[in-house]
Amino acid sequence: MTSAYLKIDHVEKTFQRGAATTNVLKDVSLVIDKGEYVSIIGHSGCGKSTLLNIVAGLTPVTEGAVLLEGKEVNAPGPERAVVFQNHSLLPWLSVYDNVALAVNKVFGRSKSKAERHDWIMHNLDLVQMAHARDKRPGEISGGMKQRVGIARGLAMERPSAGFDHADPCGAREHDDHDHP
Amino acid sequence: MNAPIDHGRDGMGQPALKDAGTGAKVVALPAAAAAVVALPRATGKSLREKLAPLAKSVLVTLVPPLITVALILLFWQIAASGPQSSLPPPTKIWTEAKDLITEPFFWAGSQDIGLGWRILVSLQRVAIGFGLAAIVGILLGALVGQSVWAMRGLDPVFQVLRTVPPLAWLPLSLAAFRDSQPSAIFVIFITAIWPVIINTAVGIRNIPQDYRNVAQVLRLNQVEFFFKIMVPSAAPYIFTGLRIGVGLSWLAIVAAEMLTGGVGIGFFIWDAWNSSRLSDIIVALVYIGVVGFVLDRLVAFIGAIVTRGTAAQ
Repeated sequence: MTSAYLKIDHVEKTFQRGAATTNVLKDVSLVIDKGEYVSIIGHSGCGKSTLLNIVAGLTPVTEGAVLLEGKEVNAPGPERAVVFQNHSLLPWLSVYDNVALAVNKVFGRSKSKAERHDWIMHNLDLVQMAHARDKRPGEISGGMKQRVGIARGLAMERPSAGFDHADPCGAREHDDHDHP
Repeated sequence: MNAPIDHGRDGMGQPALKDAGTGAKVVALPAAAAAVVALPRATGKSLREKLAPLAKSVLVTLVPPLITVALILLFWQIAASGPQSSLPPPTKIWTEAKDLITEPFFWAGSQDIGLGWRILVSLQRVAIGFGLAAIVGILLGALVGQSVWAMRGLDPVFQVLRTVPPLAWLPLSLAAFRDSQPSAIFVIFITAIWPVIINTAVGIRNIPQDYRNVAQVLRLNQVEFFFKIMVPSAAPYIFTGLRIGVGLSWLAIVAAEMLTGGVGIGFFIWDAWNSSRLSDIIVALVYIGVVGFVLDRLVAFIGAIVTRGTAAQ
């Protein structure tokens, strides 16, 4: 068990607003190995996004801990790529530049400019968005934006693990039919 | 990866349709062969046809204000033509100040120069004062918008200082700088900076959490966050502040120049008043109005270019 890649260990999360407290997660434990593909399914409001935000490091836990390769997660980082629920593309950047922002930050030192360009185009190709590389998020559909968000998430990982926060019933709505 | 999804669709979609087929009729839509319809190319239009809508839009935007101006001039002419009238009618202005209207860039000695030159001198002061106000204002606004403690500490001070009229700063700045030129620039600076600070701070407080999350996941540092997320995201607000600021600085420069002297358009008005050249003052007012309008449109235009795409989500 100590060799687990990602370990969610007795995580508890309580949100507090004034006198009202909401207990969202209670005693959640999960062990994920490298290369494993895990879906967390539940009705809306059950805490899926809260759990993913905790793993991403965007939300602090109330109790328990998240361990990545034995180290505690307490801040966000590019090794845990997040595909945000509502795509979160930056509207002033083109599709290409949105992915490039992530790639240049993560691989700015380790890869040459040409390699980074190829890596961006490779990931845009994966989600079949290379044709819209110069479009801005305002000029493409919701499903296309989500695909660019996925490309950005994929481009961040050093081909190991990633966390997909794509919510088919949320921002992506009923757009699945135009995917192959 | 595709196989299971397709299987799932078959499993759920097909039987339901088959069941429905027993009760209701399944109508197969005729598959029409797709035809490529060639659209006529637009190049066939003659130059005249292309210019017609343009000419119409110019007409529609220009004719109403021209009519208004003509009516104002007519009314003014009638009102100011009486023998006891203290202000000159438009025809008198034209005869007295024709050189100022038709030749904005004449140069006949150090104090006898065209209004265009004077406007340029005033614009130079505004450019320096407003440029400094824009830089310092955006930085201070970013600080106030980003840090709760900076806001608590600075915001009350800003709210009090911003209500001080521009000219009230002039004696103090004259005492501090001991020269009229930097004093005038300081008055512009202190007038234009408040709307820039306040609007920038509001813009930064309104950066969506989504963008902050992106920055956190990418581990952008403070400088990267400032240039890559903060400034572009708050740009519409910043430009609103800059637009108000440039308008205020143009208001302030004329008043400041009246008191500090020198070459600017403000001093020209004061000088004309002292030598009772009312026609010159009226021409100068028109110049100031037109230049202020152009300044406002210029900042709005730059803002529209810079924030292109930001408004569309």
